[in-house]
Amino acid sequence: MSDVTTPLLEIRDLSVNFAVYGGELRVLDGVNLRMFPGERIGLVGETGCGKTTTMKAVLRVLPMPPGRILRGEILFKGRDILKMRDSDLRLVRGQGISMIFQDPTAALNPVFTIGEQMQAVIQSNAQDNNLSLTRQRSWELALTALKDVALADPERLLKSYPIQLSGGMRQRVCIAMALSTNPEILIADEPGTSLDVTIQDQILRLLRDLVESRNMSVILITHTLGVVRELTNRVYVMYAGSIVETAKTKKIFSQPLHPYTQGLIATVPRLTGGGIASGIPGRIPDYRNPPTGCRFHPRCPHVMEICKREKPPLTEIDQDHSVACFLYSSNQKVEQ
Amino acid sequence: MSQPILSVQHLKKYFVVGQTGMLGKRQPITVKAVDGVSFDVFSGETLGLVGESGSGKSTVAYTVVGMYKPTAGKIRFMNTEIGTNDKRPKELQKAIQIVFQDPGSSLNPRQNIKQILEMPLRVHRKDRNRLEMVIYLLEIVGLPPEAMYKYPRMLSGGEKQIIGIARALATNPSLVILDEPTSALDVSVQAKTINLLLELQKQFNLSYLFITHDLSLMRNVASRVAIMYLGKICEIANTADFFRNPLHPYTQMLLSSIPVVSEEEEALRPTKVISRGEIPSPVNIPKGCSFHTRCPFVMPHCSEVDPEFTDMGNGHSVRCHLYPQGG
Repeated sequence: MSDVTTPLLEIRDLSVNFAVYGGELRVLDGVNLRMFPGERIGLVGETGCGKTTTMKAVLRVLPMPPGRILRGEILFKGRDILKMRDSDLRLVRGQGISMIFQDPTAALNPVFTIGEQMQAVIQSNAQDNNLSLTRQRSWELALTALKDVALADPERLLKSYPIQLSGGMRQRVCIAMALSTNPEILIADEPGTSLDVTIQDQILRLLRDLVESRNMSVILITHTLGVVRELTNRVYVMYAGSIVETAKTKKIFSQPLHPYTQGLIATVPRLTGGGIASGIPGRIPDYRNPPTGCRFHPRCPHVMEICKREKPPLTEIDQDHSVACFLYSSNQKVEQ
Repeated sequence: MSQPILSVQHLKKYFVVGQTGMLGKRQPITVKAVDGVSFDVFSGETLGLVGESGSGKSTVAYTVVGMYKPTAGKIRFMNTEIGTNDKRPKELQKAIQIVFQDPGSSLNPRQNIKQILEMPLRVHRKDRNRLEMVIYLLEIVGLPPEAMYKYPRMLSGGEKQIIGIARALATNPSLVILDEPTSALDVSVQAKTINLLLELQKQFNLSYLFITHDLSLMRNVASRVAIMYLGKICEIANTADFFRNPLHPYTQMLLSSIPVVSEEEEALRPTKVISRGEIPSPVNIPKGCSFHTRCPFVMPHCSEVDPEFTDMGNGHSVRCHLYPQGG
């Protein structure tokens, strides 16, 4: 259907405000993101930079109000999700885009068994496609989905309640549920963060295997750079509501250009030792009254006059490598 | 080497969490949160205590600081036995302080920073001018004096944790227990907080017992590392030695599970041990070596006999049947 040149998902200039007592939070300030079929994207940034808000907007699950979309488009295969009818939206959420949440315990309903919850997902997706499934058939589909995520004894699991499973098993169930409708895009929001290191490693390896074998497109939201490096092939770095840099994953780690990306990578503690870099001075801005121009300028070590007045556009300066920073605009030479 | 400032020997802490069996034959269900842990902390050093959730690392911290009474074992601090049931003398209470994991819940939301920092001063340093001390404490952690009139909700996560550190330093302690002080923070804020902690350590000659699950962080702050699994230490070594030559299969599994950001780090990770299996419940710890259910090198007697520590020289000890004593 879609060839490689048309994006599967494209976010254009997405801007979102939240109404709060005494003002408005200008949270998303023109987010631009493009995803091609088969791409595995990492969306990286610190707490409160708008990663999850962006993805919630994509699934149209942002609470509105207080949220308000000022401008922008979210195109899924060329159709604007923000303008879709509810019945079309259901199809997108079913087979188009699925999401795995950070905390598997909160994502599962404690009073229904795993089987009931998985069957509900499978049944409602079938209904959206005007198919009817027997109980037996949806049970079998749920069983296969659990086997796909390498869970032992799936029959017993389907009859269990979430509280009877460990954290790692719950996350596997969530993955199985998200994949049971065969989505084209999988959004994973910090899939291993609430788990222990060795269990997180198992989950990430499982995700990588599933994604590779099904050639699925993935958006991984995380603030752990190591996870991004192991799972994705393209990175979008987000700061205070905008994308500040994007490149192939290898390139981001070997040659980060934006001062924020450089600072972020430098502060990761290394297994090789050598101490920890001093971090990025200052803190994430107050969204009620964000800095003018480039939102990073109060924390930037290379700040110039123009940075305080104008917002730098995301410009491609190398093949597949774009950065929103005046340090790299036309007349400046790229220094490394 | 010099005398240890803190010496923990065969520390055990069991919790009773319920009962099984019929009337008359009731048996308590106990969780062996800490089951025979021994280590020393020397003056001015940082001992890293690493483990996953349920390994008992926080229980060790709370027992040392005096929030729990040990079930068995000895805790000696500056040559005084403190692991007893008697109330700890005030001088020793103030010499051991703790910084908690979640700065959001460890500061009273109804008190301003001044009140929060005054509390330990009221109890332990009655001789000092409190206002001057509060200003001094804010200064050593790099906050302006005006910050004392703020409430915790007005501060960012990093600043809250810095207040937690200032509060711990208020009593002029010699040992500070850091219970995952940065795990709730972003990396750039973590970097700032860790660097502050390292500076303060030099300035006041503090000893740290640093509890974390992050081995890459440990590599950069600890002088020695101890790895815990289900209530027991399975390996303890000097940091450099530990990362060059991890011996215990669990340690190797942990190291190989860490997501890293550079190729040099990748080369350091052991490749032969891939994470598998679930962490058993601490209520039902496997017999023998508690790691045998997940160990790739498991031998028949691992499920029967719990291994003893083997000294591999240079302060590097490992508790595993792969390294028999005297072998």
